[in-house]
Amino acid sequence: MDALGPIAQGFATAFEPARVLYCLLGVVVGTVVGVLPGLGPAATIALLLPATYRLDPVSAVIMLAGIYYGSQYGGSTTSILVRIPGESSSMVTCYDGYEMTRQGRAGAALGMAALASFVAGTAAVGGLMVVAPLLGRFALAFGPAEYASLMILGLTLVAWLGGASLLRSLAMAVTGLLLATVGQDPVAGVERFTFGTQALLDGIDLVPVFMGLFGIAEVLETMERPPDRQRLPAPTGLWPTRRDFRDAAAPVARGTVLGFLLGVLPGGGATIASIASYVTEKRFAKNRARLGQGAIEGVAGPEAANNAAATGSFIPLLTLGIPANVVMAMMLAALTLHGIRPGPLLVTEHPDLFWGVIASMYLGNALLLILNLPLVGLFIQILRVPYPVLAPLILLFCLIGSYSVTGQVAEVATMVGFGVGGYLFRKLGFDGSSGGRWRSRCARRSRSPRAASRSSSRARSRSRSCWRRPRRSRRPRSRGGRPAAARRRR
Amino acid sequence: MIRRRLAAVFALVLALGAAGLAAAQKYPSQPVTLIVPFNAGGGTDLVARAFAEALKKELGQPVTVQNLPGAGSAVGTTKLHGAKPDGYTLGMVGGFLVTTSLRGAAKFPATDLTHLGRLALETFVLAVPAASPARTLREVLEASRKAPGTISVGTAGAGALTHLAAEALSQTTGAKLNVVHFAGGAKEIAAVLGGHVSGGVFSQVEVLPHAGPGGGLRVLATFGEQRSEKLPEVPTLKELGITGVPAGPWQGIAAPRGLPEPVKAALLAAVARASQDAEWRAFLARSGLASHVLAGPALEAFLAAEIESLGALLKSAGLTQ
Amino acid sequence: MTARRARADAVGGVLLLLLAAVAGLAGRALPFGAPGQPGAGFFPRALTLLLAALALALLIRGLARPAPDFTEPWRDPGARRRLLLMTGALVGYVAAVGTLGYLVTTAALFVVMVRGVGGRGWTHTLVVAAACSAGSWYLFGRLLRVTLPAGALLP
Repeated sequence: MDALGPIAQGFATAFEPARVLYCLLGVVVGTVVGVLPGLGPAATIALLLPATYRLDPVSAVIMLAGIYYGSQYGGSTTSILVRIPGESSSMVTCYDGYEMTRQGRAGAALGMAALASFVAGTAAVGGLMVVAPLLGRFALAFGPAEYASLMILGLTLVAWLGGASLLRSLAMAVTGLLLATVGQDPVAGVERFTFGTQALLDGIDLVPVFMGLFGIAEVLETMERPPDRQRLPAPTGLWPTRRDFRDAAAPVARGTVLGFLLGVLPGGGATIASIASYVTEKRFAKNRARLGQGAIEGVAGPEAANNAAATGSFIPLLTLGIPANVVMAMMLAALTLHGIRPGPLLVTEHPDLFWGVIASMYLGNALLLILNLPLVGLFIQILRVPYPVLAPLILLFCLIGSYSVTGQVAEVATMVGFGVGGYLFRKLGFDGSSGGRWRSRCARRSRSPRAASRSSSRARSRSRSCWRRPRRSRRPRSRGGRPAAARRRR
Repeated sequence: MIRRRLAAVFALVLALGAAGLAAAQKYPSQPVTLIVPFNAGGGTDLVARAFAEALKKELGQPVTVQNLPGAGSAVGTTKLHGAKPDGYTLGMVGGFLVTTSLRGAAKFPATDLTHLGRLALETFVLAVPAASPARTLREVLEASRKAPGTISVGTAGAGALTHLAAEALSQTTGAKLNVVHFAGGAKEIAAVLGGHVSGGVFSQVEVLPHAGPGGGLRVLATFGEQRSEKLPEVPTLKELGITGVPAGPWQGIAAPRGLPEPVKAALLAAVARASQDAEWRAFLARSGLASHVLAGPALEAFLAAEIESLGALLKSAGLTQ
Repeated sequence: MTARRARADAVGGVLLLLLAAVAGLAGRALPFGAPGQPGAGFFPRALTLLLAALALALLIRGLARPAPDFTEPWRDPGARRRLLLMTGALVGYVAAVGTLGYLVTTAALFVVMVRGVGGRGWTHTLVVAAACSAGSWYLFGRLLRVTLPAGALLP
């Protein structure tokens, strides 16, 4: 059995001091890029690409790969703390991650996001080693019929995301599909709903939509309260509890497998993987009723899935020479510029590169974990910024993030539109996850002393607003290690 | 007190703004922006970034690439068209400029820019899966004539140049090919490798990794004037007696119309010299692109021919308003 | 109070009906295509009809059944003021950034948010606004080379 020979060689290649340094550089840059909305791995890699001409190809790919999977670690930070997705693949982390922050559990959410990313990333690298060539062929076998089935499956699962009212979630799903038809028709090239503008010709980009629906709408909702009651609770504890670990184990495992498979597909990717994982948890998690109310499963699953997908997307590139997304296209360009053409022959022609890059991913994931866990304590300090100052900063990040998509003010306008519209529909109870959120807030308010002291007519109207979904348990289950006071303070 | 503070802040902001504007001596006295109307990492972006390095050496000023994707390049080229003609805003142009302008997405004619030079020219190829029974292009076209619509040919998207090339091939040969659009070249190549379509029209650079022995694709024809250096054994369409098909994408560099004469002369000279730069040429060779430098009247004639032939194709494909 | 109680489902239904109407009107010229060969208008039209049907169902359900009152947070005049001010600030930002540029518009956004919405003092507001707009401009625009909105008059 000589199978381990090249792998051992790969580790030797990856652990040369200079390469360790490039790996570190890559993951540090990736973390920064992931944390800051508006900066994506694609733009960053494009910026650094010319600099990699001078490196040897193995070091170049090690560094660029580090930026990519490193950005998946950082993406969840702003999702959890201020409800702005740092990367589109961390969008669903907003639901439960931010809810955990509101309950004073930002530390646990951030820590779990890093741990889930590490477990999934490392497991996916293992998968990459063992089944890469096999999965490459699986990706090619995926044709139009398979993609169509996948899409129908996704649409069917939308009903589960809504939960509370099927009619509402269907209406929202159809609205989403209708909005997706905006732009040039992919078959005939005819313009649809563009109203003669350039800005709508490519359709509505997802980033301004997310920024609006999550970031802006959340700030608007906070504005309902007077400034002195807007502040987010100071986090208690920096580490997930033992119960968190127990609850998160299965979602991480599911998210890893799901993310890895979806990452391999040329039509898949980290964003789809994270959404698929969230929907799966909504359906299969043991505490699925609690999802959307700050459940650790809603952070652990998607964060595992997007990291596994980021690693999985290397498979079509390394084994077939097909880039699954923009970042991989740049990786391909980097290799081509060094005279290496990735494809089926890469493993035999350049084993040092193939195994060296894979081995470096183990190192990179370990470095990212070491890097990210201490950062949790630092990032949490953001919550100490007074909300009147934090609010415009959140808006600013959303504005920059949307604008940087194409450099058009129209993107910002889209974001504002979706922000105000999203706030309105959230008030109307159409927010996919707010069914649960609403319920938990009602429960919390009715138990808090402040609510009890208010006028009775208000209290009645409030309890009526909880009327529609009385069946499931109203009290958020109390969790180990978390003082009840933290939950109430808001 | 408050008012004075406000005034101070305002003055500070004004001063910051003015510093950026104060610079209009000898050209070039400040960094030059090169607009790329596509996302970072795409083919045009890579060419632009490599050429920016070469141009930097000639101009003695940094050349920063600015990606302005959107509306199939119309957003970026419109920005270039409307920029101040001072030589500090340049942009990448190509076949995409001609098509977006003809289709009305970019609301100005392609000639309404100062075209400084064509930098590179690529050839399209028609490739089929290696497992395909078809050995020559003739066999493919024959099979399609016998059973119209059964032979499917992929493109990189509706309205893309590969779409027009596939459409032209189908029309001029009367082969009635079933033209199928994908969202980008990568998905198209995956579909051809997986055998989900009979073949596809690609840029040569995309298929090279898969074309050699042991690769998943077989190239049946190249669309350029001469045989490709990278695929010397593959016949050209011309050799097969087929004409009127777009030969391939090209990349050029342009500035807004109305440059001051000295600036225009300086830029033309710099572009001409930069396109001879050793590192730039090495980049082209490594990426499988050919350097086909063209400027002056020859470029104008080339552009006019492009507008005419692509315009006719767009009309017959029903893609112009 | 009962007279002011709005029904969420009904209001949502009306809004979505409006959207369906706009889509139906804007997409009426799109070719529908033939059976087996759907045109560019097939999906938009099918979805518009589906949306209209769902919106109608929501409207009927909303009118027939008691629903939670969603206007409660807007009864407080302070909340209304803050919400309108912030929405206005965002719309104003979009309208002005193309002319006045990033620095001024961003500073103005901060002034409205920190002073108008947050109720902080002027000194505090101006320091924060100047520091944040200039600092973010330097960090993103210069150091990280993100494309920031540039005005016709000012950077």
